Amino acid sequence: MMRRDRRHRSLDPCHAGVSLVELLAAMTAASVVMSAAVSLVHRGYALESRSRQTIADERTALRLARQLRADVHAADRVRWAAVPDEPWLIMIDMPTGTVTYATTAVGLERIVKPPVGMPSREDFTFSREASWVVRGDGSLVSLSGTSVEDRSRRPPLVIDIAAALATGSTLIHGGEP
Amino acid sequence: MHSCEAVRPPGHPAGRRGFTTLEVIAAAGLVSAGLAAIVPIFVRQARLVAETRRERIALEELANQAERLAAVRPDALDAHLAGLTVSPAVAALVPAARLAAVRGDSPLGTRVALMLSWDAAGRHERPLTLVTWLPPGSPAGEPRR
Repeated sequence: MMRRDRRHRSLDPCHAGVSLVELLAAMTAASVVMSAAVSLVHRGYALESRSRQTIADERTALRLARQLRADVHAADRVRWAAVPDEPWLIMIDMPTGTVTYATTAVGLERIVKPPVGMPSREDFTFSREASWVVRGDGSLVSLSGTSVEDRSRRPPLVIDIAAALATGSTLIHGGEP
Repeated sequence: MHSCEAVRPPGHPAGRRGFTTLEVIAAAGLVSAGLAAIVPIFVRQARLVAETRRERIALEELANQAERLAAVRPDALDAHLAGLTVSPAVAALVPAARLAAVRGDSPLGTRVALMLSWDAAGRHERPLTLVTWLPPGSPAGEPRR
């Protein structure tokens, strides 16, 4: 009696529910659609995060370039580091004080020391570690930064800033900070 | 009256349960179309970010070239402008970058327009341009004899 009921269940118009095959097929189809949607959302968030960091780095690079050129143009004397591992990169003497560009773990730091009063600091922070090199040539000082290789899919950070000294200013290689 | 009529919702057609294959295919097609419409937006955003980065690098290159101009001797300015090339880093990052300069002299000094173009939509017709003035007192700002 029970076997007969089971065999004719699908023919029963009042029977509610689905067979195991239908359930598996529906779950598979739903899984495929959900996987595609979740993957897309994940990619969207990852892309948005990378884009935000890249744009922030670009903005910081522009700010650094503008500030460094303004400092060098106003300088009486510019000293650049003798060795690459020096904690400071560029030291700029100007009538309003001394400006030092030094490396930090995630970028550069600009320290302004006025003749009187407290020093002030300004950070140029990037989203990843970079190596910095400064060069002097004639009346030009160049600051270059490139990001250290990492596993992120972002393009490498490439910064190259050249600044010309004003007439009468001097460029010195090395010197005490 | 059949015994299951009592549990069937009002308005539900008699004898119909679930979805037809056509309905399922139509729903899957709509979802696929939605996903397919979103993917190009991501691609476009990635291209926009890359183009923004190229513009920043190109702008920095023009500013660097303008700084170098300020250090050029007056008698070497024309030769310097004729031999302008983009830096190796920019050449590697900006596709087919080409640098050109136009010089104009006036009593106020020397006006130099630096133009950088590269392979991007409209960039060859409208190159990124930076105009710099070399005042008469600067090394490169003496008027031509």
